[in-house]
Amino acid sequence: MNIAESTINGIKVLSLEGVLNAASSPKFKAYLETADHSGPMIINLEQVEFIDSSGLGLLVRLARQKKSANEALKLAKMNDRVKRVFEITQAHSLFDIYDDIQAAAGN
Amino acid sequence: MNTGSVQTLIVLREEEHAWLQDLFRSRHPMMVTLCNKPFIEYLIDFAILSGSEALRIASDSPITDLENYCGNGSRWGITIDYAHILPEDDRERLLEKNRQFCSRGKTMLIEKTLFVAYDKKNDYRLWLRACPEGVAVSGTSGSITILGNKQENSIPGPIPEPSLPMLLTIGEYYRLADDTLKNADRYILPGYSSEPDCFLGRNVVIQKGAEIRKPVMIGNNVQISAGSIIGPGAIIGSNVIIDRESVVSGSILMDNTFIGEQLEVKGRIADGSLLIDPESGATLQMEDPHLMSAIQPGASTKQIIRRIIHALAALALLIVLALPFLILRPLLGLRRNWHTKKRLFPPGATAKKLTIEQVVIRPEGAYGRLAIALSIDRYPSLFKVLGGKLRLIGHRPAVSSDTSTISSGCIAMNPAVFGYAETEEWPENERDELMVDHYHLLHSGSLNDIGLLLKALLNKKHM
Repeated sequence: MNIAESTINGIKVLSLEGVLNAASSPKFKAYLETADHSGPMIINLEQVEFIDSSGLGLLVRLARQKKSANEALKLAKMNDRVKRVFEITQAHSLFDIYDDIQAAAGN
Repeated sequence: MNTGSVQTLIVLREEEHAWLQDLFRSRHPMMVTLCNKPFIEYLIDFAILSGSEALRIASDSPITDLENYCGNGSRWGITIDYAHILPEDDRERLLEKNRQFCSRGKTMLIEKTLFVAYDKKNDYRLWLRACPEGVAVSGTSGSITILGNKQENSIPGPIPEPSLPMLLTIGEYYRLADDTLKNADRYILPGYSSEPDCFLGRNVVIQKGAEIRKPVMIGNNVQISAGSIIGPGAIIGSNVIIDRESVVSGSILMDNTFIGEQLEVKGRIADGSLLIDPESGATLQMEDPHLMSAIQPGASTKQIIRRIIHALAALALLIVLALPFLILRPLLGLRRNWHTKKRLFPPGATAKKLTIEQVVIRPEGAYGRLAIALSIDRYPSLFKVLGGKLRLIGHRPAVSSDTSTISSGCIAMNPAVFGYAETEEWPENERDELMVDHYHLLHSGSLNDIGLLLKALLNKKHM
């Protein structure tokens, strides 16, 4: 899984690419732990081909951390396959989901 | 902004239409039928008549059944997709979250609305073109708002306007269904109609001596036995059986309903075993399955194979754990570290309930820790897997709560001895566990279940 970092309006945007599953989640988790990722964050899921329950768990944990720090975590540009997992697991009620990164960044 | 295209954004909030949800719990309010057609289809019809090329359904609650029904919209020649919003999202946030969709051109925003009264003979593209930005139609039963480019002034001739009928009670629903049936030429309704006021679905069997009185609408796979009188004003759903010498008039029979012999159903709504008086709103749950009950689908081959595999794996565990159980059980009993808790599953549902007994062992002392590590607490439940009452792995109701948040997806399957959630390290609460259960419920097959079972047995968190 590849992670690309950018900034829009001073908000960190992490663009994930590939598969977010039990095998790749530790890489994403390590990435989140190694650097300072405080502040609001947008995760661009457009290029995520597949997400399983472990990947979902990682996002839920991240959402909880952000919430307890009173910081926003927004998910953007979810493709249909990823959206389906969020629907099945009813995880969508835990996140702010946008169809546009600029809108998520408040532009 | 591209000003050429038109799209429709339908917003569904769980708190809306609660009255309908209370009555027809098994389906989303938008999937409740009016004249054998789900409400959502009337909105799709209107979006198409208004010239929409794309339609998005944004909801703050699960809409799986709606998605399964509408799909990508290819049935209607329109692109349908879905978006999620949060209950607290206001209009501004809603539009922000759907900015990309709304920026394609003129957007028709349909809110709080179950039904739009339209006339299929009208061209609502004219109406939409003439509408200025802002609220176009508004009422107690919802609103239609136009977002995007300004109105065109030079539209010749009269412009047809849609309306939003009052639809806030079961009585209004009943009257709207009757009105829709009587004005059937305005709507696109399902069924074959060779003469006015009479609609017949596929595979309708009307036995000799049965009488059909117009106006009437009959769905697919309906059997009407000899001596029955159907109509006037009867709307019969699909997969319905009306036994001999029964009378159904001025009534709505929803899908999968069985009306027993020599019954008279007048001015009522029947949904499976539920009988509703539309005027008072009073409901009656029929207990006698010979009078009126829902037709239940049978188990599929896949489910049977899965059940067999679960039973074989449970048998293997029973054999392997027999000796540790026989040794540890009396020891734990002596140390008062073997507690059982009985509970009904599913909680709060009207469906057939199953009593499940869960064992609680505290991780105290060597015996307690060893018993938990070996899953001895699950041993008595394994016998129920052999009988098909429990699954070996699946949704395991939490011992500590009443699982009042349990959702229909998990209720659809029997509870399990081991939980899918026990295969993961991350679940912190019952909601997280339900997420994992739901994920695997949809993604796991029979063989995956065995792999997940081993993972659950070895999971440190579980131990």
